Amino acid sequence: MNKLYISIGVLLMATLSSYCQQDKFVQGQRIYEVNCGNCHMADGKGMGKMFPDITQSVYITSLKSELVCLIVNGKEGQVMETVNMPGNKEITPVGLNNLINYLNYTWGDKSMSNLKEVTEQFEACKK
Amino acid sequence: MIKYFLILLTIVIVSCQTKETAKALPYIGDRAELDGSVIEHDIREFTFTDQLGRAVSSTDVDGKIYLTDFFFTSCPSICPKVKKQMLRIYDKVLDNDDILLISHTIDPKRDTPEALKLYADNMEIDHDKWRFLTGDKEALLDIADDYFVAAYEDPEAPGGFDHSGKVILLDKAGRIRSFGDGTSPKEIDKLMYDIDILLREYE
Repeated sequence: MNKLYISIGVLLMATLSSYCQQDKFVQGQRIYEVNCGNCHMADGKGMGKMFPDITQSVYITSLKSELVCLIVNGKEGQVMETVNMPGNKEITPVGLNNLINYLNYTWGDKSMSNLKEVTEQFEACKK
Repeated sequence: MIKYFLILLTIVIVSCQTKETAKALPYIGDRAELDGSVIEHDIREFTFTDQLGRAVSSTDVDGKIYLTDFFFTSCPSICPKVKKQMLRIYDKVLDNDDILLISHTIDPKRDTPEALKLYADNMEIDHDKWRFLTGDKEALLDIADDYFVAAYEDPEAPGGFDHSGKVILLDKAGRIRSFGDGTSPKEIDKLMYDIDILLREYE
């Protein structure tokens, strides 16, 4: 009977620890799921040309400086005028920072975003 | 202790199996009896226009199994997610000529046949297999009721409409037999399983 409890305990711990390891940038992930994931999907692969695959996006690799403005102001639809990327005027610099950390971690170079830079870009974009 | 555990396990396995081998899907909705015969809930007559400008009416779906949902192209919330799941269903039923997919817009003002064609083209789907319907707004919102899908105008909602992301499965007689939440891949797994159960009725 003791053996059973021990093996159950070990299993439970293994499950929990593997669960914990996935808990990177949860705040950013949550912001992504609520604001971005409906179109770009949880796996970032989007759907067709209307909802672009962002896993290889230039905004996460070479055009990083424009990412804040893209998120805040959105983008005109490339395929049809009713399908736009809506901007997000409610997001805060801290929220943006969390989101960008999540994007970098998941699909980018895993670098950490700088809150001061993000705040400056955010203020500049909002004008 | 172990004996009880084994008994419990057996019960669980047996009850799972009865579910697995469930033979028939239920009829969903109120039923009425008239002169001794049972009348199941059904969908009112309709005529809408598809993405190629063709008229699509009740008679076109008569004798077909179809899956249906409600959306609009400018929808900033759940619609793309639901469409991704509809695409999974599309891939599954592509080779079966008895099954159609029908997506209704609830924003016909902006979602003209031309707009729906652009949308459908970008999803790279067959315009005969998957019809995107537009038409009279009231008629579209009314028929959503028949499918038990919530859909109404709401200036406060993102994009101007409130609606649920349900995908509904109908049999060849136009009766609702199953449904699933189109934002949940798991529920759509189950719905796809239900399609197979329904197909067995016509073997």
